[in-house]
Amino acid sequence: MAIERKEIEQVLYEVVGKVFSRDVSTITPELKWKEDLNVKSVHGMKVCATLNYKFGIKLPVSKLIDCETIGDAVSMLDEFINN
Amino acid sequence: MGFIEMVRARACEKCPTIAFADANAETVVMAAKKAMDLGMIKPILIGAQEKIEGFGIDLTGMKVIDIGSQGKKVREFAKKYEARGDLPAEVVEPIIAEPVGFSCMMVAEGEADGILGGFLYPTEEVINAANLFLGLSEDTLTPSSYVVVDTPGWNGGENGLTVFADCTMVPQPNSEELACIAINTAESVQELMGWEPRVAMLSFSTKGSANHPDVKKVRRAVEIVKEKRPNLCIDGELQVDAAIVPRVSLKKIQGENPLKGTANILIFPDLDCGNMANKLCQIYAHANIYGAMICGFAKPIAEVSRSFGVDDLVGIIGMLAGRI
Repeated sequence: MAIERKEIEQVLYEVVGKVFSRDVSTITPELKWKEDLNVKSVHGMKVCATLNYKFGIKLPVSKLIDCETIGDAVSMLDEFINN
Repeated sequence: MGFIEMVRARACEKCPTIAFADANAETVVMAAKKAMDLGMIKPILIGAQEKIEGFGIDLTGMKVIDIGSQGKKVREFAKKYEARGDLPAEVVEPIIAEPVGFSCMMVAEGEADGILGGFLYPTEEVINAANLFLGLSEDTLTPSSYVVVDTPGWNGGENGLTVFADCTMVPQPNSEELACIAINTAESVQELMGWEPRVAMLSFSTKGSANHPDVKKVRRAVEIVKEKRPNLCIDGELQVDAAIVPRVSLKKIQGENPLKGTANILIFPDLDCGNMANKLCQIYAHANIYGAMICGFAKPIAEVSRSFGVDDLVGIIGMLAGRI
């Protein structure tokens, strides 16, 4: 069953907020994984594991942290889940 | 005593318990058995029991964990992780139900002393699981790896052996990460091989002969190492000839020169350099490359290549066991 992009975005924001200890209201599509969040592989693993559980998918960590921004990650997830 | 004999002897002194995450591969089981028969380790094979038994190898003395029937243990590990981590048990359960995650949790919980992985599972999967379940050692910014290069006819370094880092893991380290790689490599090498580390931080410049952001990156890394480990013998930035050829070192370096061309550990400025140097030594100079050993995790782990044969694996099992 297809999952709405809005729902994917909401889940990703919540997970990123939790893993990076940030208020969800500060998570925006323009936020960059490397420059703004200083993502390390352990963060990527935690975000990815939670998304895999919530959406019932098997997304590799590299696919997630290769995205430049949070917005790019939403688009990638939308494609990955719904296609 | 050659390198392999030396690490085997060290492993035999300790005889630790090693979890093999790739026991569904016959080569890995053969290597685990050979290492056990040599008295180096006590192996735990993690995989599909039927498949492992199907190899026809005598498994006497080796513990086999059938990953498919570990539901209760997986839940127990997941609960233990939940208690110390920040992910709920149900999120990590699928990861722990795989051999790599299960092996990491065994080590995290003290049921094994070290892990060997990467033969069947991609490096990324092994490193990510180690990051999640083992965590990094104190003061470590990034895990990294090193190899021991044994080049026929070369008498420099440490009795002909030289350590290269990082050759497999950190593509573009910044100064802080480069310093971390140098410190962790030096400490691991000292622990495993008993060497007094002599570390060269490599560049295309020797002590200011060139000026470029990449040179400044290495120079800053040297400063950081000196601040954090004032007793470590380290110099840089150095071109490779100034690092390992005494005659060139004396010619190129005026003033303070702690290495005098006798470096036994070479820290490359990025993964391009480290990886290419390692492979060029193999191809042009017929060097034997041992490793890669991973350092920077809170517990010992070795990551191997799918191209490894039984003896290559036994060598790295010795390196892993010798570090425990």
